[in-house]
Amino acid sequence: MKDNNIEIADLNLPGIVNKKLTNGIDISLIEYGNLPLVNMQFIINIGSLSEIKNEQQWLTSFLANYLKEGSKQYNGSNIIDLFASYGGSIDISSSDDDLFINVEVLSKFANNAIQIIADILKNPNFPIQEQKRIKDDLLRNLDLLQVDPQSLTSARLNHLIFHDHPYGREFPQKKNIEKFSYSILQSFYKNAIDSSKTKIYLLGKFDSNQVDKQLENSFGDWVFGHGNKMKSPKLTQKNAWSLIDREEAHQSTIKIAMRLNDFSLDQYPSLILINALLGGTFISRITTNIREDKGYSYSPISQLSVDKKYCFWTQTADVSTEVTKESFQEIFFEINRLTKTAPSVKELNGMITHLSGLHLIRFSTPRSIIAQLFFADKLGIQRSFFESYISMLQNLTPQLIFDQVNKSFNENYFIAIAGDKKNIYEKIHKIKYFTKIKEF
Amino acid sequence: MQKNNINLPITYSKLSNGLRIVVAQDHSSPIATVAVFYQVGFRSEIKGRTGFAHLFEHLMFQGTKNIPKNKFIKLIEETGGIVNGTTQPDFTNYFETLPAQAVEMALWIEFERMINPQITQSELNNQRDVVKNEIKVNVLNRPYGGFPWIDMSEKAFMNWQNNHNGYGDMDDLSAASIKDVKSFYSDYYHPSNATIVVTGDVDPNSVIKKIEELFSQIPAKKLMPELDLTEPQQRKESRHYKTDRLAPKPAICIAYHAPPRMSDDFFALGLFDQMFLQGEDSLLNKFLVREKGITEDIFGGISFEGNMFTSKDPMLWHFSMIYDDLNSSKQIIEFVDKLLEDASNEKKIAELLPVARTKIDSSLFHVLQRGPYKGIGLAEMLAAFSFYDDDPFLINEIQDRFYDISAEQITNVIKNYLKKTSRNILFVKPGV
Repeated sequence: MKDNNIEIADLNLPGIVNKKLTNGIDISLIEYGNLPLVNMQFIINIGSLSEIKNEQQWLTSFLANYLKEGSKQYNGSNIIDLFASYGGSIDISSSDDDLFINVEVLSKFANNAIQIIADILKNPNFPIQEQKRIKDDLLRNLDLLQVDPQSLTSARLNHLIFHDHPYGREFPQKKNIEKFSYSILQSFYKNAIDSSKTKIYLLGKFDSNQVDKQLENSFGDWVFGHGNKMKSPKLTQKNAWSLIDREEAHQSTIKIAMRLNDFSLDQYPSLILINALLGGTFISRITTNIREDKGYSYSPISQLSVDKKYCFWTQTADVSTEVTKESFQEIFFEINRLTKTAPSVKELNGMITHLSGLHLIRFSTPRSIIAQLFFADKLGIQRSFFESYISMLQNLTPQLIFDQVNKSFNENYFIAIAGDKKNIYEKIHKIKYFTKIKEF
Repeated sequence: MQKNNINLPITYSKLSNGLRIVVAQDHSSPIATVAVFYQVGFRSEIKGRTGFAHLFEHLMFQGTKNIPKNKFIKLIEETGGIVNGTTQPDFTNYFETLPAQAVEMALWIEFERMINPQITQSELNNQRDVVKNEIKVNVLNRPYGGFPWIDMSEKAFMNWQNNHNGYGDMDDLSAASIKDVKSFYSDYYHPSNATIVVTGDVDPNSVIKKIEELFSQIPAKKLMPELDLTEPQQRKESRHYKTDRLAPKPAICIAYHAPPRMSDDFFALGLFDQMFLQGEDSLLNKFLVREKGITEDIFGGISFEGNMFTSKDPMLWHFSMIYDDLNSSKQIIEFVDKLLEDASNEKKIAELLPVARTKIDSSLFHVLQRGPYKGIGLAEMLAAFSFYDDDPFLINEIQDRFYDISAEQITNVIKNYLKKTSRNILFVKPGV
């Protein structure tokens, strides 16, 4: 067998020009690639965290769907037609913390696109005649999510962790969505948005002078809102597990989360490596075990969810109903194995090379580059982190990883399952880690 | 109208054993994608062995004579790469995106995979379970699983090669044996039936040299006889009904038979697809989504896999949506008929044509930079053009083919192909 003597040097970030407008808006202009395209992302700091009351749940989704229905200068139909004629589209979505406006247009239309987005954000008019349709879309989407096993388990897991905080709400009540109105939305928008927290990323081929001027002209005068939102959740270690019954389900959809002890951002490279070894890559131990050795599942995967103050490690898998208990046992077995023995130098080095290559791959497509930069900007990580990331990985040793695992890991899990209760409940609730926590 | 033509630097060559080699340089990032395509897909399967092409794809990740199981994927990923494969109607591909300096290693791995796969009963059993889990997660355990790609192909095509379930029946998967594995490998997995595409930050000469060094030692083999994929002409509308026990809302798919691949009519349909179906500005979206509020999303296109260029004939042009009220299905069909009738007006098509061309351009650009396997979208098109047309340079010509289409040609396609008598409608009733 050949040796894979691949040496990967640290990444050089593409040329980035950073600018802050006087109203606080952060702008990053990234010249990248050969195609005559520009990718833009406008990120507004408004998300479910801004939905202070329970009855406001999904108001940000309502806002996201409604924003492109019109502004002072353009109606919804104009906006759609214009973006199509620019060879692109406009997509608005929201998450727990942010609202994202994604745009991709041919380079020659970059300025036109900026101007329209600015008008949408500064002067949305939420036309009344579109309201029913947008609510109907939300209600339909709600019905669809509530039968989707992955959505059900994600929502339940978040609830087990974050309880009544906006991050932990499961699904909204239909009657609350039906009550959404123009005045509710206007006041929410005014109070929740904070123009000074906006970030704008432009990546591709463009005339930077022209684009710079257009951004200044279009966004320089935008001062708006109070930025009202809930505080980040206070986490307590009230661990629990919960089973959502899906009768006759062919598979159990499982999620196991662990809040890592004493997290700080400087541990991030070690934790990425630990996640990659455990379940975060195709060659990870859990995937090798429950997929490639035993065939229990098709696409198990683990991931880290990182905030400034906390970090969760979560394993997800859809496993055949009849091997649900065995799958849990194998996952716990692999977690424990990592706490008992340090990985070999060979395993560690292989994973470091894998993650180094993955780092280059993540910086090779437009959306992914923007996502990486935003991730760092949001957490307050210097962007130079990306240029020394590969060296940082290369400095990790089996002992450092072993120590980090033993510092971070604990046996307090949050577990959500969607599956056929009559077939799995009796088998799983006696597993050691289930008996240590409350059933929700 | 200013064109935004792509002009990619492509190198094309063939070895004496028939292996096709296409290299497309792109130096925007220090990475490359190596992709090997075999001209075998789920349309090549035989009765009693549905799903076998896909199961076989899984088996080709199980190791070779010189790379043991559990080391095969590791070897690629531990060079800094990511790896995957797909089984489509007419080809199966294996690809890795990795740091450019690892291309040689990837080529050696693909060489090993082509000549030395080691597949035992234990690997077959294991991957059969994995594939069954894949079918569960994507089809059986979720609402709208297999809709519309499995369901509609089954209904709209009459020829078994085209209409059977490409994921496979569970019984057929259970019946697959090592004997099947051996004969499938021998029939399809050799250089005469393959194309290697390398895209990214590479030097074409050195890549071709390396490929020659490795692959020219494999002898040529006779190709399997060409499959008969012909379909009888449809003369009557056909309607089909399915109840999905997990679905909370009704859904509908409407499909028409597409004109022959690479004909002027085919390009005309590609443009009409942009006008009628793709994007929020399309006629169908504006009317059914925005004006009538029947659905939030309409999805479809030409062919169910890849894009309009990556499958062979026959193909379907199709669109689907999930909506609220089963009673509005009649209305949806009436709206579609009315929109198609209005669209067969040449003046209207002429108005829509410039934007449709621009959308075609940007959709091609989009394919070129799609991640995370950067270059795989391009590689699929290059492989298809090399297999079906023996001309990967078509990638630089298709924009002109679209630009040469007139409004009149598009209205003719609407009249001749998008007829009620040649369409298929599938209604999904909610079972929740």
